[in-house]
Amino acid sequence: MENRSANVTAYIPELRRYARALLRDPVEAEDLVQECLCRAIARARPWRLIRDLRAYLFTIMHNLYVDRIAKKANGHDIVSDEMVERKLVAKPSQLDHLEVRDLAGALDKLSTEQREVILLIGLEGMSYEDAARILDIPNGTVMSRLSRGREALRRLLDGGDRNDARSSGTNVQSLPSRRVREQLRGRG
Amino acid sequence: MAEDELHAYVDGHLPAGRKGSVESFLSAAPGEQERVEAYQRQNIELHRLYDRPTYETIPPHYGSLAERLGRAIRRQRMARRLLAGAAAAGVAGLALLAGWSGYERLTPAEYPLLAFAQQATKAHMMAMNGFAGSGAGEIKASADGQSWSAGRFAATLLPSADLAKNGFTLVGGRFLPSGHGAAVQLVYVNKNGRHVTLFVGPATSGHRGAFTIFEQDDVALIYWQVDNLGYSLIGNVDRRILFELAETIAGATTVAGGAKSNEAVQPAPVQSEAASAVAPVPPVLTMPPLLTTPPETKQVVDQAVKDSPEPRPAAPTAVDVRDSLPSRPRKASPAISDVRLKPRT
Repeated sequence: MENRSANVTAYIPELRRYARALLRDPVEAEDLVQECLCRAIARARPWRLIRDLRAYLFTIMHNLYVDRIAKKANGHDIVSDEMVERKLVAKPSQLDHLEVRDLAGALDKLSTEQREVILLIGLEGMSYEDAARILDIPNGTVMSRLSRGREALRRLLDGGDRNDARSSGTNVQSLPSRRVREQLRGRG
Repeated sequence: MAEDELHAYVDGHLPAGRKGSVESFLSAAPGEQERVEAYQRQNIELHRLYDRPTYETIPPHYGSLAERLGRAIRRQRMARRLLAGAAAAGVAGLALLAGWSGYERLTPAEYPLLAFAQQATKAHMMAMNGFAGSGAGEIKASADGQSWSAGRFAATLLPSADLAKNGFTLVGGRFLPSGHGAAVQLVYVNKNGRHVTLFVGPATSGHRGAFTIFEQDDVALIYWQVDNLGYSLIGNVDRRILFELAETIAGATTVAGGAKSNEAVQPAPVQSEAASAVAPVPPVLTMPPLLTTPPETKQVVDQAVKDSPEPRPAAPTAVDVRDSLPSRPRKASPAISDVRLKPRT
């Protein structure tokens, strides 16, 4: 662990990716990354050694994310109309990127806890031990969240295909322009 | 087949020896095979969904934040190596000293004060090695009026170095060559037999005033700078104790101007440092005049070096300067309010 690089820059791409996967909103995601780096500097006390920089950074990002969710739940944060709209639109459709869109939508339906475990392990390639450390939960809890989360995703995706086929006529009118906009923003 | 193993298979975390048995289980259980493949597709889709080549281009504001964090981490790691060495001093002190020249090369020029603390740690290690090898009493005796009795002189020199009220008594002192001249090393012990080394010498750094503390295992190190003098305390004590000692020394340093002296004190102009603009601070004793080799000095080989199995030309040599009290100039010191310490959280 300790031999891992102190080269912070090496971890920035994955921090951005993880923030983006957590928040879905590109602006909010970059804001989270910046806050994470600032917090990481502020907390780097000489006597509190950072043994694993990657885990250190992801732990901070996780904590900041949890704080943001709590704030939103208390109504302290104004959610933009655009974000709400995007959430509502994030329904599966039969347009291109069908499978991808399905997974993003299915992830949104998971609990925050399950989503974080799945993203850390499935997207960021964390070991189960690192994920447990970052989320500050026992290894067994990681495994059960991973297992339940993956199974929930699988069912959502199976069901999603069927729902999609059934509801293909209902949402289509309003979807394309928003979706294109979203995808453009997403690729930025 | 354990559920955990199926996930470990999906994520590539399975021990090499288990892969075959998981695969043979899956080939015999089509339902499970399908489930595992679905999970594997989820991982692939996550990357398709969220990987962006543009993330590899680091925006400048991230780059500068990353640089700052990287500096803090590198400093931590060097200090850790330092303290790991100090913790082992007295146990494997000589072996560590033999490998020390490697550490010196590792210290980059960007941390001059850490380089200073490194010298202090080395001196502490040598002293501790002496204590471990010969016993505390013997160090004092071995001085035989030579190196370690320099403590008497040093105490005169540095009234601020009286740590009696903190429960630490001076057991020895000596002069050592240091990076930019000479340094003073004083060794204290408390009633529990805990040793603390105070190391004072010339230092150049921008980190004026503020204490910097490192702690690792049961060894703590604290250093600070007043004008062009660096101070470093190191010992196998809790960092809070060390901090109190540092406060005593730094506090006394700023008010020690009126301390009596055996020698005529040369009137030296008070330097108008920026720090003295904050508050009128009394002049203090400083070391630099000492740092030129005084007349009639005797070179004695340090005990730790003498015991060393290999010749160590770079090792510090103790210098007895008991009878050559130099003059002392006066200098301004930074306001003590610069000192800061965050409690452990």
